[in-house]
Amino acid sequence: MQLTFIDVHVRYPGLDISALNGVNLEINTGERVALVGRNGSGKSTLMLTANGILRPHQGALLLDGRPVRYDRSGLRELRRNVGVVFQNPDDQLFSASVYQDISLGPLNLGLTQAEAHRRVQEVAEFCGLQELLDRPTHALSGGEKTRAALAGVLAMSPRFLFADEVTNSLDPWMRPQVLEILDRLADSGCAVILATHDWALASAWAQRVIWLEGGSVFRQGKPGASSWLT
Amino acid sequence: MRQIDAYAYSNRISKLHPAYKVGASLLALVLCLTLNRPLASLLILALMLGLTIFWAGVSWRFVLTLLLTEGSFLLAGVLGVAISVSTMPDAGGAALGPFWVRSDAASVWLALNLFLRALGSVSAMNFLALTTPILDLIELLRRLRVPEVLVEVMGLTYRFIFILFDSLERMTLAQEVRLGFGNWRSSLRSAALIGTNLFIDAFRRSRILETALQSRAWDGALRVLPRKYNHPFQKCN
Amino acid sequence: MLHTSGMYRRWPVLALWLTATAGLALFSARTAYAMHIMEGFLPPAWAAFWFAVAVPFWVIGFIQIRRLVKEKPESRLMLGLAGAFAFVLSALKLPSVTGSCSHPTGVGLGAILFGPFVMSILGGIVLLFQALLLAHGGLTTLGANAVSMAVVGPLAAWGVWKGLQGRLPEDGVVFLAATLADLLTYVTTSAQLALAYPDPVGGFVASFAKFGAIFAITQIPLAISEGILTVLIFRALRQTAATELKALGVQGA
Ligand SMILES: Nc1ncnc2c1ncn2[C@@H]1O[C@H](COP(=O)(O)OP(=O)(O)OP(=O)(O)O)[C@@H](O)[C@H]1O
Ligand SMILES: [Mg+2]
Repeated sequence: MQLTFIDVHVRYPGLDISALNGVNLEINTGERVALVGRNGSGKSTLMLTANGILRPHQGALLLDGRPVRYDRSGLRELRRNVGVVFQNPDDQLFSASVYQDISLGPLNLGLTQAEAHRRVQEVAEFCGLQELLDRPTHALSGGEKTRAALAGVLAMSPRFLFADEVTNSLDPWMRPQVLEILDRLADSGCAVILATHDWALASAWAQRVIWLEGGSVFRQGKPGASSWLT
Repeated sequence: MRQIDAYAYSNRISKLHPAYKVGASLLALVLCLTLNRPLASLLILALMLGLTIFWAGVSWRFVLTLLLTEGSFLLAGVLGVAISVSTMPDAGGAALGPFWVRSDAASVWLALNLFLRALGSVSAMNFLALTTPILDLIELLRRLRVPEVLVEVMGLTYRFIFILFDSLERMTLAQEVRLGFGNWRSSLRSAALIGTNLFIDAFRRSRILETALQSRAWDGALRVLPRKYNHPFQKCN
Repeated sequence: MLHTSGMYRRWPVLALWLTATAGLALFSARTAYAMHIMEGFLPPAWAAFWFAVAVPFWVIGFIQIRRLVKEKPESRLMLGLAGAFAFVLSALKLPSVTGSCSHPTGVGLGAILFGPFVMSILGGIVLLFQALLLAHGGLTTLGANAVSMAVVGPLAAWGVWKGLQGRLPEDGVVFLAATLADLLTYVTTSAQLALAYPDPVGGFVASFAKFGAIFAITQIPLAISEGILTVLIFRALRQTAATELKALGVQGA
């Protein structure tokens, strides 16, 4: 599967300047991609656009070569395939219990309760949350919250996962654990796009680094490789 | 607050189906109120304390401290029952400014009975608060067919209380670091600043959460899976 | 009852002063919350009566909330946050003019921001959580507490806010709305207690004066502090959150 940005321009309502200025990008399933760039360069905006929250006023977003339709069923289709984990897990965990929070996505996709329950169990195991399913979300540590937020998105089995700076607030012990989850995810065929300010992490972990600057792709490739210079 | 909440989901009987616990404490409450006798109140007090401490395994220190706090609030109310006030001089009363305050055995008995009754009821309420996660109470309301919208708003309120509380604590600390709570004027101003920021924070969060929900294919209703419980005399999951 | 022997007359008074001093010392040493009627304090008939009084307001509030949510599904998030805001505001430490510390009720601000009927539902939810999370108030007394804090208080604030807007400077209106909401909450609670426990001699009136006097120590300074606090918050919101106020439909924003 492929997610393609063609000359995408995105503007926030009420603002004149565009947050994304002609982004051209192709992302394939199974890829590990790091998204870097200074504050305000458009990383979060790119992620929200990929998920259909923000709609380009110019250019197009293609899923498997077909333009995304911004109606109910089109958006549902997009969101089934493209998941976003927000920077602050508290912005995303709405339900008071971990189990219930994870179940929201699958139920929104129209799964039956039994199927949703199975998804939750699978994902909880994948993210090491089995023991925490009955906990209220506010009684989790920062790392646990991050994993719970991740699980809530993974339960929808996306083919593209955009993770917005999820490793930032993690301690040196929790960080490898979360990265390991992302690695396994990529190995299972999902594209993982991680926004980060950590260049060392980006070049070590990712197969491709995308450098955004002022709302468009400034450079991309593997740092150090010859393609990086182009 | 966090302590009561923490006990509610970590005590020994937290996984028990909430209907049993709600039933037990409501029964105790109703009995305590309708029997309305000091002995009955004391028995219920002892029973509920026993259930909380020995069955649910909540620390006795915590249970008693909580009861003491509530008892001190009760005293002020009970006081009003125990005394009579009049403006006429009264041989049996004591002077308090222009008023004569008096009391007699009957009112003191009434007050004592009331105090014990309230203490018994409070212990029944504490049993519920300390053994039953709020999540389960909300779930129980859902199963009792309370309108979905109310159940959802309750669930969201519970979730957001802790988020906003974190903000409150951060902001209070930030104000205290800057000596914001020095005298009356500056502490009032600090409190106002915190209240304002809290509101703005709450509003901003509701926007972000909406975005986050949309990103998970949300279409209006907050559908989640029901929770699973244990029943007494039966081992499950 | 009134003419008990001298011996009998003295010991209750003595015992009483001891408890009273101890009680008041404890009572005012803690930071005082808004005046909740504790669990078990009301006889069953009165507890039921106040639930019955609260129900019509809850029904109106529920109908309003349901309409709101139908029109804008995302407003349930705002409602949840408004409830949480009211709860957390009541945990804010507020200096009282007497020097002790107390907590605002948030009744006035809530009514101005969200309207009185929505507040009746949110207030009920907040009271339930206060009983279960803070051990303040109670379950059987929830109806009575809702009438004073989620019905009478918000209606008073709303009435002042609507009625005096434009006739007085806004600060004055907000102050009056918040202070009056607080005071009426406290008066209602005193009346509820007096109805349940009328004075053996002076009946309801004497009892009302008595309960009123006991709680005046904490509640009147609190009402004034809360009035000032609400003015300060509202002024700041006008400056920094005008768009949010407008989104909530606050008048004149
Ligand atoms: N909700 C919003 N409303 C209006 N403008 C916004 C909003 N969010 C972001 N912007 C603007 O869009 C541009 C891109 O912001 P974006 O959040 O995508 O950057 P970012 O790369 O994620 O930055 P950071 O590293 O700080 O997270 C910025 O100029 C920002 O000011
Ligand atoms: Mg960002």
